[in-house]
Amino acid sequence: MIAYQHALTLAVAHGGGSVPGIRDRDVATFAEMAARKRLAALRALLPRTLAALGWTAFERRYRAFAANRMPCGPERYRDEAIAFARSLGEPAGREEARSVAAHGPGRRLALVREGRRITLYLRFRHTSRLRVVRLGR
Amino acid sequence: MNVPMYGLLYRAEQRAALFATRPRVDALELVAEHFLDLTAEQRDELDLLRAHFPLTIHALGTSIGSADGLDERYLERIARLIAYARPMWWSDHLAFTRYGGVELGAFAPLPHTQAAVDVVARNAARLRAIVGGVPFALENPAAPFAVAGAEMSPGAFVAAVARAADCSLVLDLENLHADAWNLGTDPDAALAEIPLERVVEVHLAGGRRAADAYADSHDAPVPATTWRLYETVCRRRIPPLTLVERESALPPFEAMLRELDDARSFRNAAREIAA
Repeated sequence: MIAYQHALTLAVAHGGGSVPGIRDRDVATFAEMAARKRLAALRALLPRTLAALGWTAFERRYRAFAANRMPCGPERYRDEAIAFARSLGEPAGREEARSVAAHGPGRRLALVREGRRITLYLRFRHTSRLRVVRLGR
Repeated sequence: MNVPMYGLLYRAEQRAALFATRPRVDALELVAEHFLDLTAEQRDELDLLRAHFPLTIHALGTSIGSADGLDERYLERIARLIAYARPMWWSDHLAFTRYGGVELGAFAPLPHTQAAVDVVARNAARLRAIVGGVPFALENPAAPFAVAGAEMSPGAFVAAVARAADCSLVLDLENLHADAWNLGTDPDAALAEIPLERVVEVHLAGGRRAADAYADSHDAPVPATTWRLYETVCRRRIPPLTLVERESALPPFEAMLRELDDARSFRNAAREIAA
């Protein structure tokens, strides 16, 4: 059990590989399915970054980014979206990374600047309603 | 006998249509991950839904088959959600999605061995200690591949797990259909071995053929093969809850209601045969 789960986890992390008792083709298909789910989750979380880069460049840069890292923890998609958007080094990504982070349950306050518009996200307690204040045009 | 219920996987984008046709939907299944933060907005939605429908909670991240144990922080969040939503029961998949703290992001199949049964039983006991007394059920996921070294058939594995973990079952008939296509398993043989008296919920859905495989995408109408399996189940035992699951490519709401009506007609036919 442990050997199988360890080997499959490594294979998914590296986009394929050898897992005793399973055909390499099946392992590669499974790894690709997992990668596509992560990619779909990030597209949904980063619509403005996706629009700025376009689908092809978004996927290419995401796959390069994700090649040697695996998401961990219950907020894995949100954490990965923030890290990926920040890693792009482009304004759209940086702004959206702040916006995604601002919506995280652990955040109480975030300031997001997009051109002349400033958006303030406020949450007084973890479970209280998110208040959004927009300033500027 | 309690009246069997017919419900839907809840999608927020269908909320208006759901409430406009409320008498035709008996119950809702909520994806736990959509409510885990229990923010004020999520609590408002839970308040609304639980005031009008019996609920079940369907989780994706328990990873009950992880050989290195459960993520207790995740389970503590599930426990808070369940305490708030007060579902009839909650469920997750008979698979593993995490090992060594790494999230696979997909349901990986377990080997059909006694060692795997023991792992699930051990994890289920720990899960109950954290989450509490709300009944827990395990769903048969579609397997993307078979793990070598099986000591028992797929149906016998589900039965052994349910017995060892002393849990209920969610029977996804579309996943049985997908396994038949992809792995060559016999869904009727699996149904014959799965203890239907433990099944609290049946899932009906449709998938898609892609190249030489069948994807359990749950984004298409329920296919004839899956309806036939449902008929087989109803002849043996009417399940307490039957759900139509549509995860994406949502059709007009009326089309999903018609599938619920179709499910009800199988119940009626089974009762006539029994009478």
